[in-house]
Amino acid sequence: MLARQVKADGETRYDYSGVEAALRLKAQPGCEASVFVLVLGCAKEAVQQVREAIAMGADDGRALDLSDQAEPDAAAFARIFAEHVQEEDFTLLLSGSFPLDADTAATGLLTAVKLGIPFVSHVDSIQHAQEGTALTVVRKADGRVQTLSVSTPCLASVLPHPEAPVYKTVAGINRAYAREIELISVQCEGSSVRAEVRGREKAQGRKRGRLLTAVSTDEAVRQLIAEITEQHML
Amino acid sequence: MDFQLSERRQALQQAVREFAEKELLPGVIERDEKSEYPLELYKKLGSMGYVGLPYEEKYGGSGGDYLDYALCVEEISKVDASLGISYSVAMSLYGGSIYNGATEEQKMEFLPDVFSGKALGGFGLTEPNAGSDAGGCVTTATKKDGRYVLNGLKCFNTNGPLAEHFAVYALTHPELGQKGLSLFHVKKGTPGFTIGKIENKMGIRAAQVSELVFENCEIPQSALIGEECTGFKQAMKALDGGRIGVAAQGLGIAEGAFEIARKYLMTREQFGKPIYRNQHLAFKMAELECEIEQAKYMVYKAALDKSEGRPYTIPAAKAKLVCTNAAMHVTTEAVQMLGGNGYMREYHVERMMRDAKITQIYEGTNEIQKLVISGALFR
Ligand SMILES: Cc1cc2nc3c(=O)[nH]c(=O)nc-3n(C[C@H](O)[C@H](O)[C@H](O)COP(=O)(O)OP(=O)(O)OC[C@H]3O[C@@H](n4cnc5c(N)ncnc54)[C@H](O)[C@@H]3O)c2cc1C
Repeated sequence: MLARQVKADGETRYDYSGVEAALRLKAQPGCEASVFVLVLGCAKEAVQQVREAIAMGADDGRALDLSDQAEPDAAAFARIFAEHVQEEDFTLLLSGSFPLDADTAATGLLTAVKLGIPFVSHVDSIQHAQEGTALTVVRKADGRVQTLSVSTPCLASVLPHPEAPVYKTVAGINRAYAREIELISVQCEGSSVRAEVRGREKAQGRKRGRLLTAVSTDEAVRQLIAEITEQHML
Repeated sequence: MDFQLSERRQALQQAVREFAEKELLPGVIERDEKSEYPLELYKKLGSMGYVGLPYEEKYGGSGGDYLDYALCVEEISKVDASLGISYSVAMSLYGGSIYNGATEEQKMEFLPDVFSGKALGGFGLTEPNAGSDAGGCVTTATKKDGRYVLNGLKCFNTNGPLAEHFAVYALTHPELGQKGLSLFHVKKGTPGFTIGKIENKMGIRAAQVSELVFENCEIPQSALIGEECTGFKQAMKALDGGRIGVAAQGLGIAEGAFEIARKYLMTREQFGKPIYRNQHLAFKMAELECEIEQAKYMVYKAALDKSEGRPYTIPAAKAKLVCTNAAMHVTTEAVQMLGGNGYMREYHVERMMRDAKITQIYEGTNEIQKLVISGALFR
């Protein structure tokens, strides 16, 4: 789970700690997880972040477009996330610790409450469960280190590990830009979430342009408009 | 004409930049001082697919193209030009030599280790009396009992002390002069092949450059790449590709120094204001910015020409000339703009200035590039 955060300095950032933790877990011996990324932000940016996560090693992802929304609060973020994952068959939801919802760090907790699953904050590392459904997590908070066993499905907000970044690979980048990314418009009204599939952001690959020949000017304009509408440029 | 890099290429560029800033920058000054090559970091780049960028996956590459590769050399060289050239030599001089001329079987044997970044490759053409005039080589490859016996000395071999695989040019027919040159693959550790003097250099100090010594070094007939007596052409073709790499290296060095100077001018105050507020310096930066942009388009164009199957000998020579001159000019100006600090190690630009110099010399000096370019003008 990745959400756009507008910092006090006005800059928009995303926290990749959750994605990195998921990829580290996936890399553990015997772990056969697949990593799905859910990004909440403005359409173009959100699609871009999904691609970045796939380039890092995530298997797939979906972009949730909030462009029409005024500044949503933690509760709205949580409703949106919960709505989008509750139909899915997941074991573990991961988010960064602080980036959500303008620094209140409440989105993770509220999402877990909505979904009725356990929540652990300040997670430093996660150990893949060899047997059973419980995960071993190491938590670092208030100067203390705790090792906990958490049953799944659950939601964990993880601490950043800047000393061990997960880099994008060439294969990952090629994969990320050769596929379409699902883009969904979401709106929060009161306690309900309205979602509408806006389409799929085109693969970037190495697609060449198409020369429109032997068509009338009107037809050429119609085709061009259809093309840029499909790409959400209009 | 599209002057915009695709989003995929931008992502690639951004990813290498991130790696360079996080992994290469921290030890770059120490590596330069101690002449230490970051082999582990190179292998890490390889494990992420950045090394064999322009080659097919079946040979250990990543299935990209030459522009992807040039972008990667550029980003690495912004931070560490030593790694930039070592990578470029392995990919375009060793890799290009073998890839262009080898049979499928030879490619499968000699390329994957190098293209996956597990091992380095070297390119042995230059000899003490054969530099710009590569046709003056005297190293011989004599046929004996179905094998070749190499004798001679190659000098200034980038990656020499570290490489596992070498593309070596030697005379199978000395009586034909340069037309008698042939290309061979030689493995490190082959009896009769040793590493000679390791050079103590002005710049690119972390890159390892040495002599290759051949004393009755026997190699199998299957080590011949292409046909006998096609070596000179093969070397020139590999060098055309190599020049795109060196151009990208020069561009990266220029950009790296430019950015350090730009930040410095904004923070350093003299006479009560940041020094960029002196129009002389701001104008100088405007000129350097244009020089860099010009260099960038030239090397990207040459790389695209190669990728898309157009002739690229002349574009590569032009790009090498312009980019490496930009590297020398921008780094020299950057040292001046940083004043006394520019002369000190920890500000990086003095290293970049030392690194820039070699880009005007190797893979054909810039005078030789002018010979190539002017030769095409007056054909
Ligand atoms: C650090 C380093 C790494 C290198 N790596 C490799 C490598 O991996 N493999 C390899 O094979 N070689 C390598 N080289 C060799 C390099 O390519 C040569 O040094 C270069 O081609 C110049 O040759 P030279 O040094 O013999 O100079 P010379 O040919 O002796 O040239 C001396 C000067 O005369 C000028 N000059 C020569 N002929 C002409 C002419 N016709 N018109 C105008 N001016 C002319 C040159 O431009 C130069 O300024 C490396 C060199 C160095 C220094």
